[in-house]
Amino acid sequence: MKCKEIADLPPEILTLIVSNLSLNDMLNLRVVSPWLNEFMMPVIKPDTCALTFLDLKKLKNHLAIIAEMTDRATALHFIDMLAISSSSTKARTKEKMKQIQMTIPIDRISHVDFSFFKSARIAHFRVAKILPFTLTVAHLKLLRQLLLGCTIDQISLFFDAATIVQIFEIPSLLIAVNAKHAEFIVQNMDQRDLLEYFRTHEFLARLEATDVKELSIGLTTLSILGPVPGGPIESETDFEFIKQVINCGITKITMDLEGCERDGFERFRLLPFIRDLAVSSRHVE
Amino acid sequence: RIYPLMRVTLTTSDGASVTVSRQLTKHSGFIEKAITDMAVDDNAVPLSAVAVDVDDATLKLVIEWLTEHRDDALPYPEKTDEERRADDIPAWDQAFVQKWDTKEDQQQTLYAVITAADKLDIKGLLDMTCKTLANKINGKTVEEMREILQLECDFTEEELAEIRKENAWCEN
Repeated sequence: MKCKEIADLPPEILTLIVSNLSLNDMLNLRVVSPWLNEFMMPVIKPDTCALTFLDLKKLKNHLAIIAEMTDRATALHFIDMLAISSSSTKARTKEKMKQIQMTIPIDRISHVDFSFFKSARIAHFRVAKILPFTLTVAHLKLLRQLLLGCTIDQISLFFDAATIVQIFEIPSLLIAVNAKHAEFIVQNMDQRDLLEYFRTHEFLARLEATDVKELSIGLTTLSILGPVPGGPIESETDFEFIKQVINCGITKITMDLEGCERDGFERFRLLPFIRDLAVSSRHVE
Repeated sequence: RIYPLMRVTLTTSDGASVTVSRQLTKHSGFIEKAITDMAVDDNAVPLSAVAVDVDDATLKLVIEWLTEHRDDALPYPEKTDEERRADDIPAWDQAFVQKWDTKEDQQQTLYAVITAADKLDIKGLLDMTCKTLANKINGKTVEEMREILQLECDFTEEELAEIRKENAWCEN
């Protein structure tokens, strides 16, 4: 049979043809005809939503998300969310990055099996420090649901006196999203005692069951506000904690315990400690 | 018709027979496989005819392209998405395709050659013709694309608005 129109071409040949086009041309082809729209959508839309970061904030009755991506076509993964989002959504391109901001009414998603993406790879998922999504029991359940289908390289979570007990439930979340780097931040700097929860046997045992290789714990925002130079280690308890964490399979630890620069920091104890770690042949930074 | 170094007879979908040199058919994965499957001595004359699912008129164009490209290196170089570019069509190929623009059914001719290149597994010709079609669409408005591809707009106004809204998420 002679090929009379473009619709007669085999799909793999059509794919070859459109692979020579720019994204804007491919998007225009969607508008040409219904069958081209149907054909082009899976060609344009990446199978996995790849994000450089996803920030989550909790407004009064809404969730606010900010997502950044390098491939503009990735924005098509947010189309399903448009239907449930409120009007304050926007997308903008800054240099080579595409950024999307969206607010979603919580009551529209809390009672349905809603997740952000069917499949996503997120380099860094961050609960924002300002207006954080506090990890209450209900919020943690919702967070699991929202992140279903996501793989997250680094996850940053905030805790306060009311939510620190949820730390024991976090390792199962880390397993679900296959996290490699977990960052736990205590909300208020004067709540240093909350750090004790990270030292409990129960938490460390659960952490060992995850794939996490890098752990950051601090009283400030650590990498969100920029990394804190050096590894401030304040007391014998901290040295002991580092050993325990390393025994859980963690190979990189960052601790910001607000004590590095103060007078009397016992640097002379740090070097022997690091040497001691080195003989265990682990890669420890 | 006889081409230099007669070696392989091709029978077309509309019953014609064309005999061509193995120097040309070596660029066709389909014909080379068919010859291999015959398990005959390369020097045997004549070979059994190879049936190709391409009409006579299109096969003539394919053979014209193969004749020009008979000395091209094999295998055809595979390119990654990053290496691929549509503006590197050789001058002879551009002129070869432009000749069809004077034909009433020029778009159908392009589709026919693309389909033939696919069926005969001629990677260089397939690559060139796909790029040619892409270049016709490249940078055009939706209306111009419809005209080039000879397609009707079957969308409702609501459907069009929805797609444009979705596209706006990806555009600069």
